[in-house]
Amino acid sequence: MKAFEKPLFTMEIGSLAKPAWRVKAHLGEPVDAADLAEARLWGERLGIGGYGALLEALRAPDSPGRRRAALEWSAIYALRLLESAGLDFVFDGEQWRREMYEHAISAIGGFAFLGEVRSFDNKYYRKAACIDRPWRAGPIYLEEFLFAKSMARRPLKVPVTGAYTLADWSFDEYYRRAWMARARGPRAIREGAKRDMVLDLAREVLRPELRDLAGAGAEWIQIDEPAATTHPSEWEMELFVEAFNESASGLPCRVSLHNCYSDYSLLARYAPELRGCWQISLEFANRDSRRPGTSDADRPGYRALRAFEEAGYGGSYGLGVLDVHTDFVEPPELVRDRILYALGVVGWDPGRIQPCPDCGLRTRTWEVALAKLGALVEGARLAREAIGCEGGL
Amino acid sequence: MIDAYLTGISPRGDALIRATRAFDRGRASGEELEAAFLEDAGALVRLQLGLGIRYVSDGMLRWQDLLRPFALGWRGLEAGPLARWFDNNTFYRRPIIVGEIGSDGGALGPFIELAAMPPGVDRKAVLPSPYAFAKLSEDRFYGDPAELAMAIAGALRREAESLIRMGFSYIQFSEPCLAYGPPKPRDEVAMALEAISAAARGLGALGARTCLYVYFGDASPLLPDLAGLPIDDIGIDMTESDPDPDSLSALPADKGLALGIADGRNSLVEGPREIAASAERALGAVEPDALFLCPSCEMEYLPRSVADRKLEALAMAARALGGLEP
Repeated sequence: MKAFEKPLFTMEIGSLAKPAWRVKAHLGEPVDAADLAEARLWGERLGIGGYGALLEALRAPDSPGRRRAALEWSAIYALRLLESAGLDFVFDGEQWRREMYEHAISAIGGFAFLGEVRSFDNKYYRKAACIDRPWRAGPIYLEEFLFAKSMARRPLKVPVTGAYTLADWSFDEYYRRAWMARARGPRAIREGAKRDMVLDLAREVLRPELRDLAGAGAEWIQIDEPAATTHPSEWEMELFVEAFNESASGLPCRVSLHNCYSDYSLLARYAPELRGCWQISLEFANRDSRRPGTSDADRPGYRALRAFEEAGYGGSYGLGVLDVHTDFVEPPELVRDRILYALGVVGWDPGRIQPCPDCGLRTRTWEVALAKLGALVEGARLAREAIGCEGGL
Repeated sequence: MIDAYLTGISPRGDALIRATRAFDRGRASGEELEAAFLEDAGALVRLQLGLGIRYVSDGMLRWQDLLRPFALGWRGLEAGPLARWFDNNTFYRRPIIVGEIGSDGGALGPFIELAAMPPGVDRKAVLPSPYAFAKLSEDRFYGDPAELAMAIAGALRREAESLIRMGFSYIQFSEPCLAYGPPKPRDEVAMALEAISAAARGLGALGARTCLYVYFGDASPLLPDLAGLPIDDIGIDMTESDPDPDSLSALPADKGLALGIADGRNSLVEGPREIAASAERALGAVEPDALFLCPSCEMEYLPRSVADRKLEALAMAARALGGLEP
């Protein structure tokens, strides 16, 4: 595909903020004048034809049709936002998903949500327990992908939550019970149970899902594994690698890994074992200075790349060049310098660097997200210009 | 004495979760939030009293994390960026040491739900161990881990004395670092024990029973070291340890034991019989001065309904072993 041949092509990672009209309409609540004004404003700004039909749907009382319209229109808006920023690969800003864990677990049999637990301070998340052997109750992302594909004007990359993270963020009752009868000692029970749970999710749920996505025309699937380095022991890291390989190896499409805010020196040691993983996208901007320049001292956030190179990882990097936790809009020259530094690490091979945000932009307003993504696209262009390949290969 | 108790921050109940969320979104007043904290702590205290538990905790529902009250309340510290709390999907603010540590012993005032604890009840408080506190902080001032740990120990000691004056009769020092990950070098273990001793020595004379609760790792190889601490009870995370009676016999006869048998990080609720059997298996012929059955760690990783059921099971197991007065 031509888009893959463009040096330093750009992409998004996953989520965008959900507009208030999307949230309210999907919950079956009425919208107010400000919500309608927002839908109108972005409809005009993104050149979305026929957005009047959205306004009409939003003004109507709650119905299955109105809820569906909220999902479809928010996906269209997000696609157009990412396309208008100039990204080479886009998706729907995960507008169909409540959240990356809950969305997937809700579609998998064998889990029960038990309640909310704290992430930090006054932030909580709903946590489920595995109470039976998991099964794929139905497609998790397929319908969302098919809709996005029907609407997109640029190539798509589909983000999915990986098996290791789904298991690590859940309680385990089913496998613990089984292992209590088979092993002695709390650690042997816990480790045996976790291994079975992770690999069952990889083989019975993720793999068929990814196969269906590829069969439906997905050319690129990104497996999100934010939990990858949570447990730094060797057997946990090997389990994470095995889960990736069981989920994805041999698929007839590109498969990549996304991880962020983690221990990269640990991840780097295992990166070469991820079979068929053509790209690893990582958060770097969050760790970096805002000073322009391409020296080691200017780019402390990107030194972690060297650990992957030294470990023998030969794939591409999704290079996080936008800090998603600040409204600071990175100047294109800073983006360019981050890219040029990374290119220096990988022997100036522009096929191995794909600039992107550190992570999903869901905590930023659309206004800020669009400005940051515009800077990303312009920074990539400046980098191409600097190395003399602005017109493509 | 055979008993059960809580070992750290309890999960907030559904109503309190809703109240904190509403407060953050400007939809609830400060008074409404205060009332929700008091109500939730009151429910947890009533549960413990109803189960016959002697040393009652207020659940530490206001604590954002084990170190935050001190990061906010002591001189020389700031609450820094979010960092992962061990291998959990839970985060804390890493304290940053920016100057000489100072405490007037009042850091916990705003965090304790005294009104939820009836007078005359034995109150249990939990403090971080000075070693763990130092390990989990970023030092920009002392430049020497031992000096930092001793400064923290001094400040914790003042907090412990204030707690005793407030009517607390059981002080637990929580130690999640010492047994976590690869074994620590001998000189580091010695440094940790020295700081813990400095924080705890003599608290008994002031009227409090004390505990060092070691969790998130296997404490059994450390038991000979812990035997000499000026501490009444030694706590062991039984989900990480598989101690045999031989290793427990390393503890002197006048030491009590806290066995963290109920897994504070998984929702499968252990049965009372299963808990009692685990305790009996671990103890063998060892008869500690006091035995407390408890969760393996703070239970904030669980929804409250699950945590409450685990506490009930622990109390029933203690009763089955001949302890607890209803």
